[in-house]
Amino acid sequence: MKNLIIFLTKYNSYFVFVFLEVICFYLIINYNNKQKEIFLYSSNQISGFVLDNYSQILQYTELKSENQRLKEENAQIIKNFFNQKYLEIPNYTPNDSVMKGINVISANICNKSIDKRNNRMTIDIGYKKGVHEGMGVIGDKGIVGVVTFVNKNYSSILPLNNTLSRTSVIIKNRGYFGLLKWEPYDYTHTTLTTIPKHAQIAVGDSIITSGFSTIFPRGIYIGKIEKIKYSNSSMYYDISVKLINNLALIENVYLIERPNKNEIFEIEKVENSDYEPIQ
Amino acid sequence: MNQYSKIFRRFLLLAIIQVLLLKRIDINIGDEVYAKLFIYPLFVLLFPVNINRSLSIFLAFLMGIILDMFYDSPGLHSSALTFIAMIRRPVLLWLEPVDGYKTDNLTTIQTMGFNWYLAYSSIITFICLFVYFMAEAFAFVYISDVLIKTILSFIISEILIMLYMIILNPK
Repeated sequence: MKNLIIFLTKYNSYFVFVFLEVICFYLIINYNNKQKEIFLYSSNQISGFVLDNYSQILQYTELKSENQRLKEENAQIIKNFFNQKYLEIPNYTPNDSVMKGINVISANICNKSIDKRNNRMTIDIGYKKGVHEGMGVIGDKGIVGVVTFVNKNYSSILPLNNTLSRTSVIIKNRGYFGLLKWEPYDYTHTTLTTIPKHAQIAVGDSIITSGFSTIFPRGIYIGKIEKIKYSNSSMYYDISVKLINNLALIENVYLIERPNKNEIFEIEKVENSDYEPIQ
Repeated sequence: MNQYSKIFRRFLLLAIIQVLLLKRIDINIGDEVYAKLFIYPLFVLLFPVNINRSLSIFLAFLMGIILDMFYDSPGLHSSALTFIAMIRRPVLLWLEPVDGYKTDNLTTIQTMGFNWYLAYSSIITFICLFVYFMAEAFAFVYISDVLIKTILSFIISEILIMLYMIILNPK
């Protein structure tokens, strides 16, 4: 003990140095986007490899229930195939150019967190199998998140239970559209914002994707309204949405991509630039 | 106590020069290559020789955090400043004159001579800039870019630091 104290006092400056540098790097990684991406990319390479092997072992223990779920899911897909529609989209006749040729890739989740402010998921396929950034991720029932970083064999997902996650949604059969955000730390619920107070909505209404973004096509199911709060200080409702997917249990996901994404990007770039036509 | 009030005043002066003046100057050469003007290594350069090492590291970190607040780059300046505060002792030992340093002595041009000061400030400024640009790039693959930026910024910053020492002549 005495030696330890002598050691600590003798080299105290080194400890101060290491401590402060660790703080610095913590700040760099957490609050600077570029460095964060590099850090995530390189740590994904390493941790993805380890965790993938680990989860391969663990998957054996869940084979039975997983099998059952996959069977149900397959049945659903086959049913939808015969009905010529993708997932359940009642009351919506898809526009050909929007719905035709949607690319679907199946993937397994090999790592995820649910107890943090900014949760992440890692899946076991990368650009080798045709994944790229900005693809939407859906589970068997509804949406899960968006692909943000891709490397050769692994990809990182920004799931719904991340405070950075923003999803454009509409309330089915009512047409009001809003933004879905997440507030820590309840992964079964998200918050729907920007629904104005004059809107006629009710508990139990379904929330589906709006199709306004380039990531998800219109009409993918997300969840149901569970609670509507009415605060006097805000112009908007404060709506709590119960997610249909249990993000803690989900294992298999599907990556989807809209076929004419680049055209949307192009036209919106013209919109947003300072270009002013002469009339 | 007088020593610490001097350090505090220098802290304010250098932070103000860096944030209000030098932050606005951008020197761009080509698309990716740019130089930055740093005067704040002087804060560490001008610590008294016999200052407590842990205290100097902590003060440097504090300065870095203040600068980072204005630069919107949490951690970058503070990691560079903390690092040079750490390596200042070895550099001083390496450059130690034959008769040693006088205790309580500031290392300035007047007390140590122009050549000594140029060597001392060059080493520390260069390392500071290198750590800064390395932390900014955050990957070893950009090492050539980092070196070019470091060298360009180093030349300008070193001139600035020597000018500061000659004109303001801190005691």
